[in-house]
Amino acid sequence: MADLPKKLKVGGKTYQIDKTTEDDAPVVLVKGGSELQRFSPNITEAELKVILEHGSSIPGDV
Amino acid sequence: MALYQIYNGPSPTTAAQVAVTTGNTVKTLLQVKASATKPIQVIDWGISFDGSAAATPIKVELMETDVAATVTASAAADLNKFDPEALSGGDPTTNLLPVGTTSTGYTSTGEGTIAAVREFDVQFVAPTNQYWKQFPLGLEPMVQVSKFLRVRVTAGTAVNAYCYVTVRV
Repeated sequence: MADLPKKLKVGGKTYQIDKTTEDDAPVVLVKGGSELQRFSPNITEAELKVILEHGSSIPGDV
Repeated sequence: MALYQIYNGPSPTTAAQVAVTTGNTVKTLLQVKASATKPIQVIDWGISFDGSAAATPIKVELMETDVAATVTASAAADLNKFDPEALSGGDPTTNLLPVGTTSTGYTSTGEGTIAAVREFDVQFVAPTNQYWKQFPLGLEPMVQVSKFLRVRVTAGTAVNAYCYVTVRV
């Protein structure tokens, strides 16, 4: 798994990051408010910031 | 045009690729979103199951949909660069293949309300078996811009699955 902080602030919103497993598969859970999103364990902090801010790795392509 | 191979899980390191449960309701195992500017050409795809006893076959579909499933977002490292163009082309997630929880990813937790589908391949595959198809040259299906390529299964009893698509963008 990539090194990720436990908390990440993006666009004024704070997300909690949890590296865990679901059904024996490693996964990165990102919780912001009531919203829970799942990411590959290979995700980097830079990739995560872009996706959380824009909803996609290509800003504007949602 | 560059070739990428994408699996239904994170790219492995020291251990084998992780297989993912099919569940026992309709489930998208893998989703690839075409960007707003580039359609996707599907070269081949495959799926295999780890069942060890004969049982009712699993419905498997390769399809284009108008609506995204909610998935585990892939990372750039999960998109295998398959040919020289891909290897020299930089990070495809920034311009060719968007990743995100409603873009390219795997293991759906929400199928979305699909209104329009183009089926590219539909099969029954035994839970002890595997299936692979390479589309004939010149007859490769195209995924339209901003649409979603999905590998979707409907299993009566859950088994684990590997699946992949090879796409040209």
